[in-house]
Amino acid sequence: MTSDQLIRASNVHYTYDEGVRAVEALCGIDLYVDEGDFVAIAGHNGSGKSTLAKCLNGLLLPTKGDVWVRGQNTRHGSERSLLKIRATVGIVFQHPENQFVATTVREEVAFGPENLGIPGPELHRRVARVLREVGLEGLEERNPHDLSAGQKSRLAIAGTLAMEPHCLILDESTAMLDPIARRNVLALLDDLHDRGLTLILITHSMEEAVLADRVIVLDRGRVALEGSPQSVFADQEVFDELGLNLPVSAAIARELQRRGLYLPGETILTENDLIEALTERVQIET
Amino acid sequence: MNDVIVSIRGLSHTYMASTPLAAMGLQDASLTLHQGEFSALIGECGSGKSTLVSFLNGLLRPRQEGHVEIFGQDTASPGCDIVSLRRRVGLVFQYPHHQFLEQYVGDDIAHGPRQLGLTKGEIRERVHWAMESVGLDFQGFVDRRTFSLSGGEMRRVALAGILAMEPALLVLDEATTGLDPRGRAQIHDVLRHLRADRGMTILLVSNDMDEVAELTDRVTVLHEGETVLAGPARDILGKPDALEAYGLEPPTTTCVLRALRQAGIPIADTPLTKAETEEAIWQAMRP
Repeated sequence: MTSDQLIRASNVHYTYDEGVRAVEALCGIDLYVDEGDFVAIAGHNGSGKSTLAKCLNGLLLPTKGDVWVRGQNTRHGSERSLLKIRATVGIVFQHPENQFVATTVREEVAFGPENLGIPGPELHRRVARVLREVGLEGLEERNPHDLSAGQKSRLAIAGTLAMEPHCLILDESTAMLDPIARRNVLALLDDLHDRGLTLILITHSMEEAVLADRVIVLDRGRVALEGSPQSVFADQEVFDELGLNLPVSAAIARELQRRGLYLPGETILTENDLIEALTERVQIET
Repeated sequence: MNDVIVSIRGLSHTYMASTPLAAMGLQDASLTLHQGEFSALIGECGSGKSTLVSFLNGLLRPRQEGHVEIFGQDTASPGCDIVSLRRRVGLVFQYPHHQFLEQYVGDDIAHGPRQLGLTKGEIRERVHWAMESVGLDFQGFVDRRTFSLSGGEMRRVALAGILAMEPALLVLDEATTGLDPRGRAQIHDVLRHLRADRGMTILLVSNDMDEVAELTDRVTVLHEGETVLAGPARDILGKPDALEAYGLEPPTTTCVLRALRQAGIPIADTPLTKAETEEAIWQAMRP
């Protein structure tokens, strides 16, 4: 195990016991996340993404197999070491308002670190810094439930960041946002990653998955594809079989190429890629 | 045109009016829907979309300014038959679990039809049809508990419950937001069929412009409670600059085409869907 390995999962199984029938959500997942990585875990609803997320910080213990966070197995160890794991890997869920506990933005952000026993002056510094980072300065006294959807999402991220995690898992945290608010949250994540935070983005949006350095595609509890966004999107057949939709621009590019239009550059994933490739082609011709 | 089924004119609505908490919801909003049309209502968060939708089945009725006429009924008039209105206008909301009334899927979908005085056989038939329409296997789901369902399944049950009422106008308020692409594509197919086979009029409230571009033929844009644009989807979505001015992210297709035109590539007509866009680029750039 290398020293910069943050999370490792080995042969992870998870089965939900629904009384009469057991639902197998994860069936042998192997993965690693290094410090500073930006990984997207993609897959359709019910592919096991959220279960996996909860296994990665010890909220759920695998039915079989192991997860290590900085070398510490989530299965063994004391309550204290589990708390340490959860402080290392923080999760933000899809409906941020479900995780709000306080009546003001300031208290909401302070809640986590306060529980870790962070002393007053340090607590104040931390809350101020985190609110600045996510762009919620000036809203300290507002009630979390009065914020816009985009602001709620930022607040949930702030609350987790205040625990000073090494890694942030976002479980469909942008799925319910409108496009502009989503773009702002994604820009924030990009910024946090640039500053060294490890990110795991759980998403069914391929538009979001392309932002990551590495994409892991889950299907029925197994890793179906893994690699750079370019390589994952290039595997057309498997991709179609998994029922995942290409981003609109990638789909148009693929169809044009199939009909015989040469497009320069690498695999086209985003709107900008498509525009660049098409305009570049015109320049080559003229 | 005499096939107008919804006509809303100059509508204003203030929440908690004449209290310190008064908040403007609508100001001079208008909306026209024709029989058999697939329409979209778009606008940024807080622009009043859900407020406007609440007027369509009489959940809200005009108290201040404005005129609301649905299926020929003036909803402000004391003689308005709200019960018959609600039978004809089906609303599906963003959070399906907020509209479940029964513990089991079959009972929940049957809840509406049971209020209509139908026979057991008729109710069963409707539930069957509604479930198959939304892609829920009757045998597999009729006895499932609503709260054991996945998010995508819950949305389908909520939609089936509304369909079982056989509404003439179906309104989906962000009903596909947060669904994965496969689930979303399934709902899209359902909507296309309902329109083609049953002539259902559909209003889609959505933030996803790519979805709106693929599905709808008329678009109404709300901005700060006011209707600022309305017309054929091709005209409205084909002007990305105007949409951006109202805080909206235009469809990928029209953004790409705008960039190509700016780069001097001659694009004919006004393509809108993915297929049309791909064809237009092919025609302009084919080897």
